[in-house]
Amino acid sequence: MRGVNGGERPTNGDDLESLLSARRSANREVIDVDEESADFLIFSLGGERFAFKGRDIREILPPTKVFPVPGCPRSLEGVVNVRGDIESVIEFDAMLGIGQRERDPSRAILIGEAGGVRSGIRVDKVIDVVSVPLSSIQAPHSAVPERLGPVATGIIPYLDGAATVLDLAKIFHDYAAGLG
Amino acid sequence: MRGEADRNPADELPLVVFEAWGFRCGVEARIVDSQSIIEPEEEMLTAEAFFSLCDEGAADSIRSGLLAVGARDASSAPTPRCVRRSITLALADGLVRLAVSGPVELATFQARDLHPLPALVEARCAASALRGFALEGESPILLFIPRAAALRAY
Repeated sequence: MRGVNGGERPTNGDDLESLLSARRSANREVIDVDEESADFLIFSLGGERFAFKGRDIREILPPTKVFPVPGCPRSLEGVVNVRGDIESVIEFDAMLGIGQRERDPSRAILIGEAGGVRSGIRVDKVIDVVSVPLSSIQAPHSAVPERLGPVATGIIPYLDGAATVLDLAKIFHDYAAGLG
Repeated sequence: MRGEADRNPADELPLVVFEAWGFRCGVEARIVDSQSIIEPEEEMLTAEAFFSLCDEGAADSIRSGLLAVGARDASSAPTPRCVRRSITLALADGLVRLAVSGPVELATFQARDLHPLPALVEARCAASALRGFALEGESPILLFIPRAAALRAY
């Protein structure tokens, strides 16, 4: 059979078989249900993307009044009343030295729990919760700012870029010891 | 819902609640000996100085000794709001009279409304006499153990 341009065309059966084969391969690349994965909460802070392990985040608070506590460093914004429990709120950007801005009560507060410590964490914005195959998590590379080196545990792909995974247990431990 | 008959006094704690440095504060009622009006010319230790409620810049001068009412550094401290009342604490080493702001109230709190400091506040807070919070509605009241303040600063 001749094609429109006069060249040999595969039969219809050949077209279908090759298309289905290509689709089958593509599907295998996108979804592999057997591959082990982990959940991450992605958030923004100072124009950068970061992530916590999903298991370390208990909830995302709705806009909540934070009560200041005397004698605390600037990075410890205060405490919040979460359904009758008192939780601290740390300003992550002030703690990590990611910019120093006026306090903005409209920013998001995550309640995290790791290493036996529970606290609120003020971030700019919660972006997404994603499941990432463990094989796609990279070691932190040289692009991660030096100040984040001790608490950055990896890089995960997200959309057209990446997010730096932070170790919440180490962050809480270091903060209790005087960091920030 | 629990009725009045179900209330267990052992689960309750009476507190004396007052205001200092813009914060609502509370101490156990059993250690408050009395409250009184401050005479206009009277000078005395303020609750904010005693409990180290001021900012870090003012804290050093406060720790160095007693402050007269209204004698704080005007650049770092809010203007005292008509301090007229005092409470007298009965501590192990004697009575300590403190100037406070606003009304002094006696309130009883259920144990479930009393909370220890969150771990990070406990680790980083310089006000060592601050030991917890009492919840009254949505707002927390700072709970102090005055003995700790007295031993540290005086």
